[in-house]
Formats: sequence, structure tokens, C-alpha cells
Amino acid sequence: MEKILELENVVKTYTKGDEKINALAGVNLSITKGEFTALVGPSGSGKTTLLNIIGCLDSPSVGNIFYNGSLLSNLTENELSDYRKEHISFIFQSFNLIPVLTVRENVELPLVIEQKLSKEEIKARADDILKAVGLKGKEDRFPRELSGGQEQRVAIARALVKEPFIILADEPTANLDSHTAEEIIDIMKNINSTRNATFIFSTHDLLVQKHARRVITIRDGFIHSDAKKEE
Amino acid sequence: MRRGSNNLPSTGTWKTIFKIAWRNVVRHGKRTAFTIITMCFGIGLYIGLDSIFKGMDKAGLENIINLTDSSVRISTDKYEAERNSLPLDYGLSKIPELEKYIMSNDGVEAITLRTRFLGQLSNGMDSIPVTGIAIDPVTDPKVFTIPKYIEGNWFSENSQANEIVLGKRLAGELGAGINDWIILSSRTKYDTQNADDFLIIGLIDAPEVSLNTHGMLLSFKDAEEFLDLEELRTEIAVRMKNRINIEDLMKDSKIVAQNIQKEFPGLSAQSFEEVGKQFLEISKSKSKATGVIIFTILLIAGVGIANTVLMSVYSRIREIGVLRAFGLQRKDISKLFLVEGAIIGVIGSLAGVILGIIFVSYLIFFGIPAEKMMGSIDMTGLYMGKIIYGHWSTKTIIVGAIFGFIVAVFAGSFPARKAAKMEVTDAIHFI
Ligand SMILES: Nc1ncnc2c1ncn2[C@@H]1O[C@H](COP(=O)(O)OP(=O)(O)O)[C@@H](O)[C@H]1O
Ligand SMILES: [Mg+2]
Repeated sequence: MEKILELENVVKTYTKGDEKINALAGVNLSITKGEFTALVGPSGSGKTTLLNIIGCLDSPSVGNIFYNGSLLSNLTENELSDYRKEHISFIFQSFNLIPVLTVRENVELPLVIEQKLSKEEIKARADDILKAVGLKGKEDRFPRELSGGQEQRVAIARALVKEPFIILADEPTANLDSHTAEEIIDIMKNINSTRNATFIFSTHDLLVQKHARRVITIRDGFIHSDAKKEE
Repeated sequence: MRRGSNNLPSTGTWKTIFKIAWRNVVRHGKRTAFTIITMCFGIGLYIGLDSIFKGMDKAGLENIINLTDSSVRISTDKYEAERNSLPLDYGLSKIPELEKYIMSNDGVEAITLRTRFLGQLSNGMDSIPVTGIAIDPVTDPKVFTIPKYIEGNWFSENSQANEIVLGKRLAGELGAGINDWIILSSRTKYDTQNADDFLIIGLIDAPEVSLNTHGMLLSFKDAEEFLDLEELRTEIAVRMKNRINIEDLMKDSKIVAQNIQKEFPGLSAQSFEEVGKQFLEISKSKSKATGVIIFTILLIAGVGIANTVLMSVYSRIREIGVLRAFGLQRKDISKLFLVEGAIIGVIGSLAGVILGIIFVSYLIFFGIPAEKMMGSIDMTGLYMGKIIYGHWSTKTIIVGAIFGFIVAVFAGSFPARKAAKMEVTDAIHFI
């Protein structure tokens, strides 16, 4: 199995006044390509912190992270930015679509920022992924004209359009009703298997959690349990 | 690890930045409208006021050239030093030689001699001080355009009576009109008091306050006897050949004045620009005062823009987070909001320029009455024309537009910096 991500004794310490909080207190973890992993645990256990660090949005206080075998350390903020631009995608709890951009423009955005493909290629990619998430025909709508479930599907399309090696989703279903939440997870899972895309998502919804092929439980900044399901 | 070292966003990213910024401006049309209107008025007012001030300057200079002092005014140095009291001393000497020399200068069209004096006009009850000017009725109209503004008659060659032409307002204050007799008194060259009856043959209604309120002309023929002049001439006035651009006329006149001073030591030759210096200073300080007003308006607009963009930043914190997460750098985020400020600036400046051009066009075609501009106080005297016309200045329009744009970008830069400073992790999860 191809290991795409490896965390070695990752610690993240926040200082609040005089108090030091270990949001992550030594996490060891490896992720292989094509995994569909849920990160569970009570509120404040460190899920968001872990996803931020994996996503190069934040740097660990201590510890190493290897992406595709190479160590990303001592990178400047702009270098981290560039790394995210090419390799990492995000799905957020509150969808976070750009309200003034249409569905198509939102989906094309990461490719436009990445500046690697031609206009035609970008359009073809967007069409392809919008079809995969079932939004064909809604390309010219604005986010405010969509339901929550549809918005999150746009966000999924946006996250997948550049074919990142990892997609990180922090509570992607928390703002959706349970029916829609399952629908969204189904779409993610579907894309995970058809495109072999690697997902890590945090959730505290058991219905959502049960769709995962691997469940990592975090407590107080530690990995409490790590369970892989056989299909 | 290798990655692209392109620091500048590509055209595609720029296009997206513009698209997002533009749509946000449009989306919050109401919020931005006030700012744009403020800017528009600030710049429009600046352009309009500058136009009218330039028009006033031009009208004032034209009055000097056409009605009071001509393009180049020549007297002796001594006379110039005591000009305020209009002495009947220090007359010009070697006049024919001087005249010949002046006429030989390039661009000189005509010259005339004048002698000014202080007098009193009286209707038997009231008396009013006047500035008398003894003139040559034949050559004077070749230099000055006073006859254009005369009601009644100009001096005739062979009249027997003492004749004068005087300002219409002056006549009005004395209750006198054309064909009335009036008493003029003055000191003569030998400093004796003299008085005589004069027939009013014409009234001057020129766009020049000093002429209207205390100007009085008489011919050398009558003045000779009345003031014991004995051919005393204190001033030569020069008409230059017309130039379309007043700046060119200014240069021509300056050269002639310099030539004369060089050739005739002891003479003082003043171009119309030097004569008008005093009121040009006044209008300069006036435009400084308006500068302050405009600056204040633009400051308000600037604060408006800063506030508008800041609100935009605060309402889009998560959007900032998303864009950062997808790889935009801090400086790209700052650009997003700078562009937003700049868009407001461009619209505001453009609207201001259009409004300014409307103002200026109105001022050029219709003008405004001088009284409206100045009130009834003629603090400047010189350029109380009846109607003041605006002056077109492309430079002012460009300066106004660029200044507005710079204010907008500058104002937008503060919230833009604030947006760029946000931490991506905080921005994404901002509630
Ligand atoms: N920016 C921060 N500054 C200080 N403390 C933080 C910050 N972010 C998170 N924390 C703390 O770190 C711990 C883990 O938070 P988080 O990763 O958000 O947990 P979860 O996502 O599982 O709810 C919490 O105690 C939280 O208060
Ligand atoms: Mg969280």
C-alpha cells in the first residue's frame, strides 16, 4: 500500500494567557492512498487542529509530517501556501462557497489559482466533476440559489477538481439534516472509490461515521483508537 | 520539493480577483453608492471651482490688457515708485524716440500716451474722488477697448466744450447723465487747485469695477489747459498683436518690457502679468482655500472607502480563509480588497470627472455673474466682470481623477492589510 502521509509524534501547543494547551499531544498516524477515514471524538479533542496541520494550514509545534515520503519542515508560509495550492483540498462545515461566484466559477477556482491548465481543460474538468456530484444543469446558479446539500456538493466538486492527493473535510455534514448528510457522505464515498481519492473527515455524527472505512478516535489530543473495517 | 516561483498572480488569477471584487462592489451597491457620490462631488467641485478661478484670472488679466493698463505699461522709475498718488511729475522724456523704439519691437501693434491724475467730481452737492485719465482720443482706442463699452459718445475731434467720459456707476452716484454738466476739480502740475465745468458725453459700462466706479477720461486737448500739463505724459500703453493663448501673449509682453528697460535705463516697463500679480496672488490663495475644502471632501470619501472595504473584509472573513486554503497568499488577499477600493475609486473619479466636465461646460457656455461669486464686496476690484466664464483645463481634470483614484487606493489599503493579516485557520472557522 502506498503511504501518502505520515505523522511522527506531532504536538501542537496553544498558549492562552499563561495556560498552555496541548491540542495535539503526540500524534502518530499514517494514511495510505485511497483511504476514507473518519476522525471522531468529543468537542475540543483536537480534530480540527489535526486537520489544519495535515492541511498545511498550520505547523506543528513539535514533530514531523511526511507527504509522499518527503518531509515538509521549515517551510515559509508562502511555500506552505504553494503546497496547498497544488496538493491539498478542503471541504468545510459551512460550505464556504464564494457567494459572488457561480457554481461553475466556484468549482473552477482552485484550478484558476493553480494556473496549470488551459481554459478549456479547466472547463472540461469542472464539467466532469459537477456531473459526478449530480449538479449538471446548475452550473450558472449562485450559491444563494442552492439548498445546503447542493452547496456542499459544490464544495466537494471544488475540492476534487484539481485532483489533490488528499481531501480534508472538517465536519462536512454538521450543517445538514441527517438525510442530506448521508447523501453527502455517499457522494464522497462514491468519489473515493471511483477516483481513488483520499479523504479524511471529522464528524461526531454516528450515521456518518459508520460509512467510514477507518475510524480514528481522538481524546485530549491523543489517538485513542484506530479501527479499520473490512468491506 | 519544487514548486513554481511565480510571485505575481497570473492573468487568470487577476481576472478572478477582479471578478470577485467587482461583483462585491455591485452586490453592495447601496453601501458603495454614498462613497461614490461623495467622491464624485468632491472631484466635480474641484474641477468646477478650478475652472472658474482660472476663468476669473483670465478675465482679470484681459481687463488689465483691454481696459486699464494694456499689455505693457511704461513709466519712469520715479513715477512707478509713487504711482499710488498719480503724481503729475516724473513725465516721460524723449517720447518720439521711445515710441519709435517700442514700435520696432516684434509683436507690438499700437501704442498710446496717457497721463493719470486724481480729481474730484461734484454735482454741486456731493463730490466723489475719481481717477482721471487724460488720453489721446484717436490712439487710445487702438490700445484699449473702452469705446466698446461707451453709452453715448466718444470724444469728437473738434468740439468746443470741455468733454468727459465717466464710469456709469460713478455718474449714477452723482445723479448725473449724458449731456449733464459736472464740476471737476484737481491739483494742477504746479500744485494749484483748479476746477471747471465739464460736459458728460459718454458713460463707461465696462466689465471692470474700477472704471465703472471711479474712472473718468478726458482728452489731452482739455487736460492740457485744465492741469497745466505742458505736454506732460506719464505713461505709454502698448497693445500687443493678439495671440490665441494668453500664456503666449504673456511671454511676448514680458520680452517687450525687458527690451524697453534695457534700452532706456530709468524707465519701468511692466507686463500685464506683473500688473496683475497682486490679484493673481489673491486667486491663488482662494484656490488654496478651495483645495482645503476639496481635500476635506476627499478625506470624507477616503474614510467612506476605507469603511466600505473594511465592512467587506469583515463580512467575508471565511471567504478569505477559503481562498488562503486553496493557495492564495496574503498579498493576493490584500490585492482582492485593494482592487475593490480601486474599483470604487475609478467609478467615483470617473463620475467626478463627468460632473466636473458638466460644471465646466456650463461655466464656459453660460458663465456665472461675478456678483454671485464674490458677493457685493469687490475685494478684488480688478476682475468684477459681469459674467465670469469658466476655463477649460485638461490638467485639472486629470489631476482630479488621479488624485481621487490615489485616495481610494490609499484608503482601501488599510482594510486590505487587515484582511491579509488574518490567520487562515481563524478565518476559515470564523463564526
Ligand atoms: N487558536 C487556538 N488558540 C488557543 N487554543 C486553541 C486554538 N484552537 C484550538 N484550541 C484549543 O485546542 C483544543 C482542540 O481544539 P480543536 O482542534 O478545535 O478540537 P475539535 O475540533 O475536536 O473540537 C481545544 O481545547 C481548543 O480550545
Ligand atoms: Mg472542530
